[in-house]
Amino acid sequence: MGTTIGLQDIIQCIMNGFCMGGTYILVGLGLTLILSIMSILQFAHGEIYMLGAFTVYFLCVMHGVNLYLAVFISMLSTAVIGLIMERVLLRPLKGLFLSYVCATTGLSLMLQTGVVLAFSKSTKQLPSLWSGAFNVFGIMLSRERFVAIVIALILTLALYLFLKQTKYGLAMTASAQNREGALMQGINPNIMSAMVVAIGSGLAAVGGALGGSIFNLDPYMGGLAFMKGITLIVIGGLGSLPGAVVGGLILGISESLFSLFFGSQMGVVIPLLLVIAFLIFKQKGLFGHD
Amino acid sequence: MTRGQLVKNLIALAVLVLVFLLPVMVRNDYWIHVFIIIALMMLSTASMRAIFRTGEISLGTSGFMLLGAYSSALLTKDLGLSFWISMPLGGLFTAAVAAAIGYPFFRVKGIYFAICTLLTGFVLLYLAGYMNNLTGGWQGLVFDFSPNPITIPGIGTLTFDTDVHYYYLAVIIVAIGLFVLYRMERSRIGLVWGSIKEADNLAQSVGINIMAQKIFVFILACFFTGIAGGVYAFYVHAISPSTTPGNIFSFFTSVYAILYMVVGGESSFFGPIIGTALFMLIPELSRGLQMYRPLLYGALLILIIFFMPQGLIGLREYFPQWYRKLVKRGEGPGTEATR
Amino acid sequence: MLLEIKDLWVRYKGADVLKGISCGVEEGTIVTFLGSNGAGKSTALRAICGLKAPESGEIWFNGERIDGMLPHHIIKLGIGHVLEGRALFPYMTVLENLKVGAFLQKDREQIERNLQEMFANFPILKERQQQQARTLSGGEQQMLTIARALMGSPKLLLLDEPSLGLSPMMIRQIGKIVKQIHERGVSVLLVEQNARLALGVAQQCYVFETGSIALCGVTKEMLDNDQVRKAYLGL
Repeated sequence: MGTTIGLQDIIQCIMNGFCMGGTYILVGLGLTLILSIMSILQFAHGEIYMLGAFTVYFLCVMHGVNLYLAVFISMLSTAVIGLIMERVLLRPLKGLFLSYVCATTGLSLMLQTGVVLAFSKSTKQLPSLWSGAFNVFGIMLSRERFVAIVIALILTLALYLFLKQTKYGLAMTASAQNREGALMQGINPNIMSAMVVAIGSGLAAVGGALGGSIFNLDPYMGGLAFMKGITLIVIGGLGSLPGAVVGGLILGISESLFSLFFGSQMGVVIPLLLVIAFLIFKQKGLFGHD
Repeated sequence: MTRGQLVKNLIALAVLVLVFLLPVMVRNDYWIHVFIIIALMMLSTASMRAIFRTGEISLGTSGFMLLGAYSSALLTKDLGLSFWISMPLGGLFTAAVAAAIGYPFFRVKGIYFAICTLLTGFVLLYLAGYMNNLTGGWQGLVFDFSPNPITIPGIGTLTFDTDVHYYYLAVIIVAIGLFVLYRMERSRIGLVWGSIKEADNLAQSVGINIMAQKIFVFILACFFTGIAGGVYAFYVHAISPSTTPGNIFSFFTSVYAILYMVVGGESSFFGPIIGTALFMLIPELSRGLQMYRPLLYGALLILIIFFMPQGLIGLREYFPQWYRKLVKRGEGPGTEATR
Repeated sequence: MLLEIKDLWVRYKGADVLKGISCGVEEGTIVTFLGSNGAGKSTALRAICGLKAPESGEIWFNGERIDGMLPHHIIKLGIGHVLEGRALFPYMTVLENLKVGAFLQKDREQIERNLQEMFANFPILKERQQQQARTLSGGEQQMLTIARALMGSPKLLLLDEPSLGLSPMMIRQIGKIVKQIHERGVSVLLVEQNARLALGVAQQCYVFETGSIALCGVTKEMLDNDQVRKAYLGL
């Protein structure tokens, strides 16, 4: 070994953790919203994330669209795809959880194959969000990771404001907390489902774009993203949105820190052990309710 | 016995004969391999269905197979135990782990239980990958020991030097497992499970300890899943953890187990068996389609869910009609068509 | 007749819970469904607002046939439902709960007026408006559910066992509130096990017994009849 870990490393590492946490949160928020409001596990959510990344690839790398514009378009277009998916695939399946597992898994297979056929299996790369690094008091901080954090933060805040301040946002929160109670206020459950899938898909798309830019993208990246989303839900608490945010940050930062101190292998293992601990002792997570 | 029973028994007999003569009819090593894997998955899927009968969904199949595989492999590799001992022990180890996590897990509501089991499978996979000293890490274990030869009185000796022998091993063990699960389901205990699923308040009020029952089923199911994993390990002689869909220990296996159960029909014991057989054969039969395979597979899943939500087993409702049509045709013209 | 039920049959998993009941609520009155547990009263409410589809029979509201309609459409027609067990949004504040109650209301000023009115009638809610609903006491939660339903300016309010788990003082309070609601022109259908509360406010009374209506009539007449009082009302 021999290399000492300096302040720069630690700070970079924490920033990295926030960045990774941010992308996990973008995936996890959608997943937990859909779970709370529709009581289903959207197994194709990881593929939606992947689709978001590939849409940006298509627009930006293949057709020269500005990266940020491409990300924005991808968010909207993927949200629309989510709407279509909800209307065509999910809504007709009324209720049985297993049917949803089957249908969404089937969809995920189809999406994966579709992307492989359209783009080939190879790993690709998106251009950087902002190349180079800031020099903050002598510490070099990656600009693109900073941007990723900002984007994730803005979107999370936007979601929060939507849920707390708008009529439909409150209706969504209400639907998640008591479905019958929400029905009795005249809230249309189909509109709620449509909105939540659209929002969740849009957020996941941005997460995918960020991941694709900072790292890389391939048609099979969805599976891991999905698992991170689930992990975050377990840590942060089932049914809780602040829990999802906290869970994502904990996951991201702990992975990063443990990687730094104990090597990249431990960086993945220790959070997993954390998850096991949660699974055994506190299945409701940190903030879980329902 | 009644006509219906006679027919059922004949079908069962025919299936048994078919299964035992399969290696003779299909002299292709590759297909034998496929059948072995299908058989093992049938046991895992049937186990998962047993859990489902109590109203819970387990997505941890892959993890429990992994536990069974690694524990029995390591017991033989490091402690020199014979397969015939280490395989059941592997199952017991898996059952023990299931017992440990069962109690805390069942405290949460159904869908969250499913998530917890899904994550468990994932976690176990990664643990196997990182515990280098014990499990050989991501490279996995490679071993060249086989089960000790066993003599079945009157039939012959299995020396396990060809795939066919493993086929019979798998089939016999799977048959035993399925038989046990089937008998349990048909017995009073099976009724209890069903009652828990349907109306657990009611079940509780007549004195059934729901938690105990659910954990019991969970342990039993995981035992068989572990056994399946153990047999798998000794058959392929090389096990490694990987997250790709091709690897049996990836979480995809757990999801596929559910899919096989749903498309086969979760209302019947034989649903998952048929579902597993069919849906594992489809990728094999469609090899020619290469890259389009998952697309076809996914589309098929969606179609079945939409048009046959009760699963393929629903087709058997049509059997009496077809039977009657056949019989009537033989009786000559002027016969009324039956519906 | 504001609400009319004709020969309604409701079945739950093979067992008939409501067996061809017929009843109604005149506009501007308080009607009560009385009966012991499992008699089918709550089921009737659930059938009215679409949470449970009936086997057969008709439900008419304000001249429109509503059986078979989706719940959120029925609510839109002007029905408010205070569910059994309250069904509050536990992690939302009192204020947020009330706002959700006004979901169907388009006019922002009307919402504000309703809100102020609720605060005037239920001062304790105004005091606790920033608190999460789950932190309220049983009585306060009941008031919140009622206020939430009233935010939607319903023509007919369905109240499902509001007295459950409340102290006698709170129960009297509920009685007063129901009367106030009635005075403001809202018709009320009150489902209750507590006969004293129900008969203290209702003009019309239906007594349910294992899925059928055993007795119905004007409250005063029923109270005057000794036999009825003792046998059915336990008073």
